[in-house]
Amino acid sequence: MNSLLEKLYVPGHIEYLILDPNLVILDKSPRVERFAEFPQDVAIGQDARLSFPELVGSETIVQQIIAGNTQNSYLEGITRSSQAGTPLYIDFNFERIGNNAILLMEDVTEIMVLKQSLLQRANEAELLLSALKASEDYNKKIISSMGDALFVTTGSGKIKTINQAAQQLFGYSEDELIGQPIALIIEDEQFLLEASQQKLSSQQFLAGVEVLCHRKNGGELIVEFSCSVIQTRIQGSPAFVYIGRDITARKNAEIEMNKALEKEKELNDLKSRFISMTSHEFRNPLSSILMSVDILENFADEWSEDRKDSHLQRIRQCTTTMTSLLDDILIIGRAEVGKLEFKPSPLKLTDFLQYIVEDIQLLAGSDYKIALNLSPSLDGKIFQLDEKLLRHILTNLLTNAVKYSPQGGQVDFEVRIENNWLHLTIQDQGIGIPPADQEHLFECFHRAPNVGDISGTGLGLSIVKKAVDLYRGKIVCRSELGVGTTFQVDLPLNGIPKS
Amino acid sequence: MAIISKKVCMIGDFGVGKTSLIRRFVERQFSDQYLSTVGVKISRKIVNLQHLEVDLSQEIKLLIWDIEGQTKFKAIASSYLQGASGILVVADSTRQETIEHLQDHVKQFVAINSNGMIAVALNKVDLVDPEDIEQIRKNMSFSEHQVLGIYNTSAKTGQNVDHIFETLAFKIWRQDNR
Repeated sequence: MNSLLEKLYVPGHIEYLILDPNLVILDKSPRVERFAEFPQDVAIGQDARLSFPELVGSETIVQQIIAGNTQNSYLEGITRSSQAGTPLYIDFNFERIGNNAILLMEDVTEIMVLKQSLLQRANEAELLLSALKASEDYNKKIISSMGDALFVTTGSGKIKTINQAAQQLFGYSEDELIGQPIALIIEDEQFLLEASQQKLSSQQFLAGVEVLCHRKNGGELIVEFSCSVIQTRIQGSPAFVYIGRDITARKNAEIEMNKALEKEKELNDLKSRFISMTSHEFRNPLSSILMSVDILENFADEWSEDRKDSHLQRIRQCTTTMTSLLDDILIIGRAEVGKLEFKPSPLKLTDFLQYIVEDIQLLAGSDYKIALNLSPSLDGKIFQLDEKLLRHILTNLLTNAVKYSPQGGQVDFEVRIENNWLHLTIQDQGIGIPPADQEHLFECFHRAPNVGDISGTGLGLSIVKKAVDLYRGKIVCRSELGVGTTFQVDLPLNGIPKS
Repeated sequence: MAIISKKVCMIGDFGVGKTSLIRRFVERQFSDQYLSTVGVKISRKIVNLQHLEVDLSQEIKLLIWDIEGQTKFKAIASSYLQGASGILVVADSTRQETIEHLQDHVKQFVAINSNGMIAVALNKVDLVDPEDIEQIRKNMSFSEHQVLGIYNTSAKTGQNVDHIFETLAFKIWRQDNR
């Protein structure tokens, strides 16, 4: 049987074992031992699993083949880890032969080694691709989920990568930005220049640079950018990575906070000055009142009526001064909290001006002269004016003009209308305002040092300025020491002009 | 007691670490270098079941078939799985697609051998955050009663390597000795 098989069916390079259902060797090819793990155990009548341990588990296969349930069973490229050196690969093929099974074994080492080499390269490439894909996917997800805007540009500043946040922040689509210069987004040339100078120092980066940017729709936003340089795979060709965070809201909040702090500071200063001024300005009249009251209490019985009247007059004068001061403070206070408003109403201007001048003239007495020069075009005309604000402006300017003029001095008050503006000019020949004090003219409680004993609160011109501002008008002062002062007030007619 | 010999197979996608797990278990060695397996490479190791049950003085010789991993071009040949008492199905916990293929491998084995024991190894856990591993495990479930469990393994550190083979050997022995 052995020799017949060899002659008829089995090629020379194939070895075989003929096995019974219990895997006992019934016959074998002469050189089958070369494939056995334990060649010494290959013998007819011996269990094949002793010499070929890989046959453990093959019992069912062999029995099914002998029973005719399975035609054959093929196991490709079996090798053993216990083998040293180049592994031996064998193909196992079980087939039926009579009432037994034949296990044909063929050395396929050469082809399997070649296959291993090919598979190794293919699998390595696949693993690498898989890792790269996973890494790329991971990085893309990180970039797309970033809340900050990301731009990557070429060395020359052309945008080549952006993320979702950048599109949302600036309102451009990816197609609209790719290939465009980064200057389209970042208009700060200084920042871009500094960034480009990092070409040679890739370890450095710019951080926290606040840049005013524009959205596609023209809207402004403030973005805090950082910029770093990365080396691309092309030697000497860097890429720039810009990461920007919209800080518009934060900056606006900061500005608002600073404004509020500034306002708070101003109010505090005002309060301090008020306390300081009131304690000073109120103390003198109050002391005078107290002194006069004391004197009247102690000596009223002994004094003549004229003398008593003199003290009563002093008390009245002091009270008037304090009332005037309080009125000014109240006006300033109302302006500070926004309660002083511009409320125009029909006003016959000439009548109003004459009344004001007469009023001031009455207070000034005959030692001073106020010359009102009205443009003829004003005669009898009614204008939309805020009487209250106008009164604050004129009363204070005219009173000052009189107060700081020498005895017998004249105040010229000219009123005209031109191009829908009301021009008021008040000129005196008084003591003048030192140049250093002219820039502080409208500050509360500020008084020039050359006023001497002339009484005043330092609030009049502040009130004038606030009233002119509410009018959206203009006020200009020209003054020369010892020569005189001219105030020019220009107020728009027919309501507040658009700013 | 005589040593019992049992065939167990390692299956899974290519590159998941089947050969490394065997090498760690049999030779107590590990190499980072990837060497693809072609055909099937058979290793053997005797497991003393006393490790798992103190009173049990039984040894099992495991013939471990390291079967060429599945690729997108080639499936695992079912003929290799015939006669196996158990399998160890392996996935690479860093590669989602290998985890998704676990179920297919389990079904392939159950179709051939409905009584064989199955252990599932989530390999390379040393490369993944423990909380991610927990999430992967939560997303996995096997309805086959032959599945002994899912084991977090690392051929590099040796984590659970002996345990998974010994448990598989023990369950195979118990299956035969009920």
